[in-house]
Amino acid sequence: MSVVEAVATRTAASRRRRRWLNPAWLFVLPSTIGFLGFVMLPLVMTIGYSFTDYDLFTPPEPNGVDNYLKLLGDERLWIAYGNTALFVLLAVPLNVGFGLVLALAVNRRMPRAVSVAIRSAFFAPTLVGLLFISIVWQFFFQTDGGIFNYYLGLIGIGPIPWLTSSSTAMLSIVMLDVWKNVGLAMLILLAGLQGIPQVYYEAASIDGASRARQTWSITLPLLSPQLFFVSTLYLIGALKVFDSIVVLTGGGPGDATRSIVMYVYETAFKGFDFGYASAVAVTLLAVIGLVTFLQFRVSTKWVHDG
Amino acid sequence: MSMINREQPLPQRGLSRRTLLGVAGGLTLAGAAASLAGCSPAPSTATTIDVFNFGNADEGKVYDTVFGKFSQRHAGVTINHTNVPVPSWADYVTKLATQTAGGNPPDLVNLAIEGTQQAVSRNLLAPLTPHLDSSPVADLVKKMPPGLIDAFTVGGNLYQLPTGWQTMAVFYNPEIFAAAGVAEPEPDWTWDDFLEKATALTGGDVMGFALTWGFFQLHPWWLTNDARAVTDDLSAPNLTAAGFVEAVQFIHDLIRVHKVSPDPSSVDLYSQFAAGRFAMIGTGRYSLPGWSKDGFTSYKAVPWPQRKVRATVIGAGGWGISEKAEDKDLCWKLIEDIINESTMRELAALGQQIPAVASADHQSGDASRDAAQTVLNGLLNDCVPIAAPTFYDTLETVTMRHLQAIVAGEEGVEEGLAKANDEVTAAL
Repeated sequence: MSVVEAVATRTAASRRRRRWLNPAWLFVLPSTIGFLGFVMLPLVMTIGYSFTDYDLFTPPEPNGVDNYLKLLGDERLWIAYGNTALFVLLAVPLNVGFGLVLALAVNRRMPRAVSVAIRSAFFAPTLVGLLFISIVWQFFFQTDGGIFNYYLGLIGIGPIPWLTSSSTAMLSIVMLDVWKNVGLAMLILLAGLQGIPQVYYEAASIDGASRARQTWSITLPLLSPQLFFVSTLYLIGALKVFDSIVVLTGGGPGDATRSIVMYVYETAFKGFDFGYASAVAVTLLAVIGLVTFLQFRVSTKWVHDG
Repeated sequence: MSMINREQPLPQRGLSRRTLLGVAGGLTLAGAAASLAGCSPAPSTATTIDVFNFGNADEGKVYDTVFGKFSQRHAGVTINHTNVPVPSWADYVTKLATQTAGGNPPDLVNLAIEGTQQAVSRNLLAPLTPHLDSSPVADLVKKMPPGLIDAFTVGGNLYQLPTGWQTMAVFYNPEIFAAAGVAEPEPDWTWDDFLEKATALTGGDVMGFALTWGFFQLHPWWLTNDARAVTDDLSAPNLTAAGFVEAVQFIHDLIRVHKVSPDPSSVDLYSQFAAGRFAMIGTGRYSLPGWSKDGFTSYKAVPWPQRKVRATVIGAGGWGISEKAEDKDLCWKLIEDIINESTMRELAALGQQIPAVASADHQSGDASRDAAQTVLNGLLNDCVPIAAPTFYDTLETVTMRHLQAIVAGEEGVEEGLAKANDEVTAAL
């Protein structure tokens, strides 16, 4: 090997070493390891378990596509999906809608202390653990002796079986969800609103556009990236609703509020049918993936990136 | 120290397949090395016993003391005590299953009666009978309630030993009875007597009876109607039996027809009873420490009202040895340290459970509490173990889901129980 070749080889090796020393790798390494260990590995294992008969106590045994065939005849699975869809249809528009209304209401000139107080009041519930809040709201929602029914009783209404009637239980859960989460939507949308240059509104005013017209033609289009982000975030969250239902209704009465994630959990850890629960989880993964994909596709029609 | 210049874009470099494989291989080797380090041979005398237990923090401390003394006497033995303060039996089993599935099954486990048949059917517990025959614990076991020992016996083999047990009685507030001019219940009272009193006591801010909502807590209703949730041989659900249906109808009517009990959305009923919101409540010894601590003493206990027979439910946790435990003899020695009067007395003093041998009971000095404990202890002959077949988890989950729908008016009593029975049967 000539000196030139030796130097070239050493230089190439040195480049490879430097590539590994590049700080970029160090920065992404922890999250990459976390992603592989806590997302990809469980995902692959879940898919694997979905083709087995596994009760957690004894080793899994392959059973082909039996679990997937069982899905078709599982009436409770479709009830759980129906409940989840109902929750999504109620909770997502209400969270995003109220979040937008609040953001528009707060996005105006007012004393700084008042502004901070209002924002904090709506955002504070977001900071508290859902499980803890759900326990507190459970007291509020009691049919007998609950705070809501106490005050409604003073004006001759009720008692309302907030958590023990199929007609009100899901609404109660949505109420809690909106109260808990609307503050975050408000904050994200408010940040978007404050990023819209005032010059657009000034030009529109000169052209004689009303407030409503300005909101429709300027605010909403320019806020569409934030609206898209918030609606995607809340949609995925709503599809995975679990904690509040477990505490408030336990999925009841009957199956009236049982969500699909709760059904997965109960099938796996109470029925000890981990294989079937994995198959259900895989269907949920597919549903979330499909819904998110559709949302991204539709977003090209209404989200203005620039 | 070099700093990243935020104005300069970071160089874009590809990740070659070789590099990726190299990283993967490196991580694998590192992981393997770490695993091997963790599994390096310990000194021949060093042993760890993994203990899986449930209970509150105070009970956990009692066991910690027992385990500490055991470790002192047995050099090289470390006890890894996991005390799970879970609110329900199902949550505890979930954690146990997860730990087992993770390849770390405990050596010694405290399991409730509800899990005995299930654990034995899954070959998770080793029989204790061979150890017991030659042990001083045998004399203590002879003093324990036979029904309790039977509940931990499967196929003639004893699998667990308890430190205590639980049962249910009706507790009432004599001040509320006196204020309403209602006579206090007699020990042999009936469902009709109960309903009459509950109705008379309901009014204003007071409801007649706090119906505690849980499978164990509801058991006395069907047991006093001489019905069981499962067949006698524990092989199938029995939810459509006439006595069971009648009991559920009675529970339903307490809430929806007579309106003497709150619906299942009510929480913290024990505190509400202490606050005078209810005239009566169905509960066990586990409520007494909290009431004592809060200074609440206006209560008395009385046996469950009967329909056809005098009965109530019995539940308990029992210590068993895992089938996978490597040193079962050592585990048994630890059980011998747990199952003794001294430990039972300490646990009884905390007030949560009735000790497995009567001589280990504890008088608190609180007259109401001690009187109630006497009533509860006297129920032993009436006690029937909670229905605990091999399919207990399914039985409890399905039954409670349909009971919830029934009392919510979503399903008729017979319709709901028939559905529950079919669902459990299908799951078998």
